Amino acid sequence: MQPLRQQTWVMPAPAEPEEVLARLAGRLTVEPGTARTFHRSWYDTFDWRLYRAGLLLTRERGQWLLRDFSGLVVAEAVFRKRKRCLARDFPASPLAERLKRLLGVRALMELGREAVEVRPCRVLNRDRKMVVHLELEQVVLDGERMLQIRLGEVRGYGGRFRQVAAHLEEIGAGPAGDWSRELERVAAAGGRRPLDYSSAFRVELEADMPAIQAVLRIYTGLLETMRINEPGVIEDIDSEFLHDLRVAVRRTRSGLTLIRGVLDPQVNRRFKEEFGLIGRATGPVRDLDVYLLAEPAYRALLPERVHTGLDFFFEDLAVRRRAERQRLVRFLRGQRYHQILDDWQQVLEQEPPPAGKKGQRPMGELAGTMIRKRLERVLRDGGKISETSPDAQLHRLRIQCKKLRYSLEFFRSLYEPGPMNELIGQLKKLQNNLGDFNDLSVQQEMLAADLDRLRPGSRRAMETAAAIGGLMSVLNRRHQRVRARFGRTFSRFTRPRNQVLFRELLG
Amino acid sequence: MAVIALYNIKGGVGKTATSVNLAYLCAASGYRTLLCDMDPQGSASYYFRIKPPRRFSAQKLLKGGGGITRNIRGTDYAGLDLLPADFTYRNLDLALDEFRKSTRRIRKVLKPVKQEYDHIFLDCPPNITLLSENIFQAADILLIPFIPTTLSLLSFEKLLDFFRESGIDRKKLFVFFSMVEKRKKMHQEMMARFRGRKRVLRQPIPFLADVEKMGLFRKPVPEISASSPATLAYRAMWREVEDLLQRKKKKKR
Repeated sequence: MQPLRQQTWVMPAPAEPEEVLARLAGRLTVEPGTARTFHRSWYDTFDWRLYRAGLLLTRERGQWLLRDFSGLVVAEAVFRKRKRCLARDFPASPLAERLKRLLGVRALMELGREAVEVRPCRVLNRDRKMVVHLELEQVVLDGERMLQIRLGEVRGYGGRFRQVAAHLEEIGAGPAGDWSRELERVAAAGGRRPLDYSSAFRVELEADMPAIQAVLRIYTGLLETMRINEPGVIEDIDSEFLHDLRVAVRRTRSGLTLIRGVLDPQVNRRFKEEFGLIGRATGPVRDLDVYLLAEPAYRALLPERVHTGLDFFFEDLAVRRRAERQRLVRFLRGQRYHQILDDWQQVLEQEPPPAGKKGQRPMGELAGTMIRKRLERVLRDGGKISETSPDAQLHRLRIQCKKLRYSLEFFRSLYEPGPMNELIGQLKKLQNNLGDFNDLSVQQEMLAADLDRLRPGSRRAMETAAAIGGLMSVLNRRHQRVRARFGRTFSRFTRPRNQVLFRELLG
Repeated sequence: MAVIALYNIKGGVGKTATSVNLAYLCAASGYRTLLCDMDPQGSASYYFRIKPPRRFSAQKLLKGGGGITRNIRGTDYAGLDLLPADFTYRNLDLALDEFRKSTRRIRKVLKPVKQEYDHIFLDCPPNITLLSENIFQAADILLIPFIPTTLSLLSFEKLLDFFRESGIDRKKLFVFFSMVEKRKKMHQEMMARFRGRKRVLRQPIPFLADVEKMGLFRKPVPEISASSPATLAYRAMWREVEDLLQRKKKKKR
C-alpha cells in the first residue's frame, strides 16, 4: 500500500481558525474538535546531522517525532527528555535505531521552541463518517503568528482528500513549502542557522593572494571553531565539542609548524608554545572520552564472565573523567586560556599584519612546495618500513601523514576538487591503518597503567584486573593484525595510479 | 501478527459487537489493526459508517492481492482499518468452492495484508460452511461468543466435534459468555458450570443497553461512553485476549 498522504497548507496572515472553518462550512461538513495548546521543541545535533540527512526532529505532547522536510512523520516514540540526549539513551524503537545511525556520538540539542495551538477537525461525508483529517495549527514564534492547515488522508478516501485540498485552494490557502522553513524560523530566534557549523575544515583561498592573507584567514577560521565549541565543552553536551576544539588547536599548531616564514617568527614561536599548552590541558579528558566511547566495542570483545569487571573499570574511568573535567573547565574559564585566545585574535587582526620574510609571496606557490615536500617525506619514510621495523618508525610516519593531511586541507581550495579529494581519500586509508596502530598502542599502554594503579586485595580489583587482562590480550592480537596489514596498505597508497595523481596535482 | 476470528454457528449472539469493540481497543492499545467484515449483512461496516466500495465483491476478495488492499478503508479511529463486507458475500461459499485447496483460500488471501497490520480481526457470518472452515484455518485465535443456555452448549459441542473431525488445532479455540443477564438463573448456573475451565475467558459480556446503542450512535462502545459497564467489560476482555496473543508470540519464539 502507498503511504497515506499528508499535506500542509498556509493561510495568508492574518487568518483566524474560526474564519477558515466558517469559509469551509459552505463547501464541506467539518466537525471541529477542541483546541489544545502545547509547545513544540526542535532538536538537532550541533553539526546538524538530522538536517543534513533531510530530517527534522521535534518533541511535542510528550512525543518525539521524526519528519522529513515534507512534514511526513517517518518515526516516532514516547520518551522523556534527558539532560544529555544521546541516541543510545532512547528506549529500543524504530526511532532509536534511526537516531543511532544518524547521530553517531553526537547529542541532541534543543534549537528552540514555539507555542502551538491545534484544533483537530474531521471532514465528514453524508453518513457522518470521517473522510479526511483536517488540523488547524496556529504557531506562535516571537509574537508572530502563522496559521497552517494540515490534511491527512484516510485510507480508501483519496478522492475526498483531493477534493478538500481543492477547496482549500479556493479559499486562498497556499502550499506550505517544506517544514525545514519552520526549523529555520525557530533556529533563527535562537541565533542559529541550519548548517552553520560543520566539523569539517573549510577555507576558501586564491592562488595569487599574499601568503600572509591566506594564513590569517586559515587561523581566523580555526580560532572561530575553538570559540564556538567552548560552551559545549563546558556544558559537556557531548564528547565532540572538546574533540573539535582540540582539532582546531592542533591544526593551528601544525600550521605554525608547517607554514614557515609567512608569519613573524617571533609571533610564530610564541603561539606554537601557547597552543601546545592548550593541547596538553585538554588532553586527559579527551583520552578518557575515547575510552568511554569504546565501551560498547570493548564489551562486545569480551566474554560475559568478565563484564562485571568491565563495569567496575568503566565506573572508575567515569570517576576519573569527572575529576579531569573539573580541571578542564577551570582551565577553560581561567585567565590563561582566554589570554592566549585574545592575544591570538589581536595578532590576527593586527594592521599591518605581522608578516615574515615570505609573507608577500603568492600562496599558491608556497603551498605547492610545502605539499610536495610533505608528500616526498611520507613516501620516503614509508618506503623504509619493513615487517621488522620498530613500532617507533610507524609512529613517526603517522605524524608525517598527519602533517601532509593538514597541508592538503589548508590549501584544498587552491586545487582541482576531483583529484584533490581523491588524494585525500587515498591518504585517509593509509592514515586509518596508522591511526588504528597508534590507538591500539596507546590503549595498551593506558591499560597497563590502569593495571598498575589497581590496589589488590578486593573482589572489585580482581574482577577489574580480569577485564583489563582480557582487553589487553584482545587488543594485542588486533595490534599485530593491524601491523601486518601496513605493508599492503602502504603499497596501495604508492601504487602507479596514485603516483600519476600526485604528479597531476603537484606538477 | 495474529488473526483473531469471532465465530458462532448461531447468529445474534454478539459476534459483531465484540469484534468491533475488541478491534477498536486493540488499535487503541497501539497495534495496527484491521477488521474484516465477512458477514454479508455488513453490520460491522455499518457501525463504522463504511459502505462497501462499488466494485468490491466476493470474487475480488478471493482473488486477493490489490483487490483487497484497494478496498480497505480507514475508520474514524487511529490505527484501525476495515475491510467492508459486500452483499455478494452471501455467495462466498459457492465462490470458494471453485478454488483448489478451498479450505485455505482465506488464509492465503490474507497473507499479503498481514505485513501491514499487527492484528487482524474477522467478523464471521453464522453457520458451519466452507467459509467457516476457511476461517478456522486462517485464525490463530478463534473466539466464540456463547450465551449461557443449554442450546448454546449444544452448538458448542457440535463445533468441538467438527474440529475433531476436520483435524483443526483445537488449541486456538476460546469461548466467552455473551449477552449474559444477571437476573436469569439459568445463565448463572451455566456459567458456574464452565467457570475456571481452560479455553473459557474469565470476563463475560453482559446484556446491556449500551451495546445496543452502538447501532444508534454507529460507534464502538468506548467511544459512546468511556466508563460505561459495557466499556469496562470489553476492556477487561481485551486485556485477556492481549495476554493470549502475547503468550502465543512467546511460544512461537
